[in-house]
Amino acid sequence: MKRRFKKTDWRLLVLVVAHGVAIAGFISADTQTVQAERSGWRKIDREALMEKIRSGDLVRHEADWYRVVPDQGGSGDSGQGR
Amino acid sequence: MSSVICELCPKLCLIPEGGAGDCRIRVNLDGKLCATTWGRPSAVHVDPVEKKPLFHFLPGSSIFSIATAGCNLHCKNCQNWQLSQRGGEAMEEIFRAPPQTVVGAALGKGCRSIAYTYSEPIVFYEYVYDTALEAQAQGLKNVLVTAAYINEKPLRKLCQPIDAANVDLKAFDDGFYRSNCSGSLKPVLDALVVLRQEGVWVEITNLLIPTMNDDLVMIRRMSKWIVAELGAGTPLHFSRFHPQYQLRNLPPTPAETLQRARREAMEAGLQHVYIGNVFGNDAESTRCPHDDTMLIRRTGYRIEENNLVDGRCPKCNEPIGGVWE
Repeated sequence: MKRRFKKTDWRLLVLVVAHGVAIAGFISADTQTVQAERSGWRKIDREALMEKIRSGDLVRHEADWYRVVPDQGGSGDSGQGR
Repeated sequence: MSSVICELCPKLCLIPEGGAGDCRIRVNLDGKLCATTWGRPSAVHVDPVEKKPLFHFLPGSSIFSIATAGCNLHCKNCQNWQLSQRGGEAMEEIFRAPPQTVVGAALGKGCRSIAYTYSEPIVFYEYVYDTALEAQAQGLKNVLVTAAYINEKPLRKLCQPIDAANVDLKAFDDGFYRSNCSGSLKPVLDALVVLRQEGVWVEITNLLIPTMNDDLVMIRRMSKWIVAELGAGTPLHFSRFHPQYQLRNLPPTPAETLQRARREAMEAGLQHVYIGNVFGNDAESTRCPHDDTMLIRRTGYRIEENNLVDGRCPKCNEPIGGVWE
C-alpha cells in the first residue's frame, strides 16, 4: 500500500539534509585547517627559548627578509602549530 | 602582537607571535622575526675541504666548519638530524662565537676558508652573511654546503661574499622532494642557476638511495640538465647512502649502482663525476677530460698527488674549472 509524505515527514527530511550539510561543512573546514598547518609554522617551547635567550645561549638578533602582517588570530599558545 | 611572513625561503612561513618558522630557529618575538642562533653555533670543526665534498676548490686545504641548529627541509634520510631537526632551545651544546671569533679561530687554525655546513646555512642566513663578510675582509674564502632551498633575492645578496658551494641536489624529481624532504625541486634548480650567474663555484652532490632516487633515466635527465644549465665542467659527486634517521629500513647503496650512475652521467656529457663515501676507488681522483692525465689523485680525503699547473693540465694545457689558488 502506497504511503503519502506528510508534513512531519518533510520536516524530518529537511532536518536530515541540514544535518548532512553541517557535517560536510565541518569536515571540510577541519581538513582545510590541517592543510594550513602543514605549510605554516612551528609551535616551540617558548619558556625554554626565553630561558636560553636570558642566559645568552640564544639571541634576539633581528632577521632579514621578512614582513609584518596584520594578525591572523593565531598565537603561539593556540595549539595550531606543529 | 603581529604575525610575520618569512620571505627567506620558498616556504614563506606565516608565523604568529611566539611561533617559529618551519626551520625552527627563525622566531617571531613581539612582532619581530629573530634569527635566534646568530653567533651561536652548535657544531664547530676543522675539516679537509674534500669532506664537504669540494674537489675543485683549494685541494688539500683545511676548512673551518660551523653550523647552528635548524633546517628548512626535513629529509627522512638526514645524516645530521640531531642538529638539523631541532630548534636552538633544544640544543645541549651551544658555543658563543660571533663572526669575529669564528674568523679569528679559522685564521688561528691555518684554514684558508670557512664552511657553513652540516645542517642548513640558509636558515642561519644572517650569521653566514655577517661572518662571510668578516672572513672576506681577512682574506679567507667562504663556502656554502647547502640544499639551496632559498628565494632568489636573498640568495643573490648572499652570493656576494661566497666563493663556492656544494649543493645537495637530492633527486631530479619533484615527487621525491615532496615526499622525502618536504620541499620541491624547482626552487633548487633556480638557485643553482643563480649561484652560477653570480660567479660562485658550484659542485653538486647527489646521494643515491636504493629504490628511491637511483633510477638511471632520472640520473641521465639530471646530468643533461647540469650540462645545459651549469656547464659540462661542473663536478658531480654521487654519494653512498647509509641507513639513517627515518630510512633505516633500506640497505646501503651498492657500489655497482654508484658506478652505473657515474657512467650514465659521463655519457650525458659531464666531465668530472666522482663517487663518495666509498673508500679507495678510482672515481675519487680528478683526470683531464681531454687526455685522461691524472691531475689530482685522492685516497679518501687525502691528496696523494696534485699535478695541476696554474689550474691547467700539465700535458695538454687545458684549463680545469675550479678555484685553485
